[in-house]
Amino acid sequence: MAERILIIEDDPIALELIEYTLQQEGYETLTAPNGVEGLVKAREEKPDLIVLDVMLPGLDGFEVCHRLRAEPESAALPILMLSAKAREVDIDTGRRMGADIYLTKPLDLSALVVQVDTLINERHGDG
Amino acid sequence: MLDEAGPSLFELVHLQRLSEGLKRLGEEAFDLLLLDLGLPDSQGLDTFFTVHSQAPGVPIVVLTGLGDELAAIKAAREGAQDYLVKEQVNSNLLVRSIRYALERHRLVKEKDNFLSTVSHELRSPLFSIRGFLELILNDKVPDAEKQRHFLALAYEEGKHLNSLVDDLLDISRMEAGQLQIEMETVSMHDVIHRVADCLQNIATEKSVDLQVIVPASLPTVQGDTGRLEQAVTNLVHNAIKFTPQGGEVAIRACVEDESLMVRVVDTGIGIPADALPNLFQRFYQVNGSATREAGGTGLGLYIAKKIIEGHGGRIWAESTLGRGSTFSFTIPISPRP
Repeated sequence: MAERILIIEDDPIALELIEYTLQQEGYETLTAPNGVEGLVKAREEKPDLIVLDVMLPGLDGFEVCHRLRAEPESAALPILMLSAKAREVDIDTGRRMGADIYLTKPLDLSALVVQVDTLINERHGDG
Repeated sequence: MLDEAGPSLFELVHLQRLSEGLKRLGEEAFDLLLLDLGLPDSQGLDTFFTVHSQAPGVPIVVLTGLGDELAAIKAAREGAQDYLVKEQVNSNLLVRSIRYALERHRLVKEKDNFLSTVSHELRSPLFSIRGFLELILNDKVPDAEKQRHFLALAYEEGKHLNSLVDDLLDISRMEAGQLQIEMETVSMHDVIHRVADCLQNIATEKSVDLQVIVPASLPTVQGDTGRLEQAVTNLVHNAIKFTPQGGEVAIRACVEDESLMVRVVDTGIGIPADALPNLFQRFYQVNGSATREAGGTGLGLYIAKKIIEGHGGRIWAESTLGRGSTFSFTIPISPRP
């Protein structure tokens, strides 16, 4: 069964790009255009990994990450933050909020795929 | 001394030991720290470094004794906003120093925020452009129609990036004081008609009725035709953007006092009252999300404001949520020859 990735991203063009890329790699994708819906989907669908943008309307990605980590069901969920917010302080904040990896846009999609693959495999390694 | 200056000026918390200060910093947020480098439990530059690393975002004004200024000067080099020599300070000086430190800090933070937003806004479309092209170049898009679709998206993102770069360069020039206002005689009547002609298409596409109500006898002004056209365009384009199908946008001009007044009136979605004071800020978007949703750069109103104020005029907005908005500006009329 294909692994399922939840993508939380409000820019519809970036979302289409990330979705297509991951689908090409054989992943099943779910999407949410903002943090609140993202949290609901994460709880209901229990994805294998979350690709999380930071600049979102309403709750920002940092807050979403924080909340996911605070709930026992999602505390161990692999979270990859992907954002055009690229200052050191942003990357720091991402890690502090519990992201496993923080990648900055723009970046090669091949690099994104490698990180996604690694995170998903690590998880299976533990399981 | 601060107590003398008046407890109404600042809310003060007075602690006498570094350990107490550090503990308090961990519990509460402060706007500014007045730090004596000669505390009973810590001396000199170390005091400053310890506090600064504990609360990196808080501006610090250090106090030092006569003869110990070297440490204070070093602290200022390492990030303290100011230093004061205790024996030489009076309450006026103290208050002024605090005020300046707060203001400088606010400006630095604002610049940081702006740069962070600029950086984000430029990087986002680049990600999409590079990404779609990477996919196609790596033969990951076998379907010809999908390819075409992705190329079209990359193209749109390219145009958006173009607008952003143009606007940012404009702002950069304006901030550097190089807003070249080519002074000439400008017919706002002609400018407004030109803008309306240019934007008629997008108004028609949305079935928005675009009207121009400008008397032919409107006096001329001294200014930069191109820039004024840019300002009017930004206002009218916004009005059309935020007015739903079947609505109206009217551009009116008249003389008011000794100025020429232009009003762009729309029957659009309106603007909430708490957003009104912030409208003309850079990258401000009413719904608070990333700039992409509104489809613009988030800089149009700021640029319009800079242009109008550069002409000695005023610009402001009025609105009723759900009913519409009116954006107005005035420009002093040219003196009669």
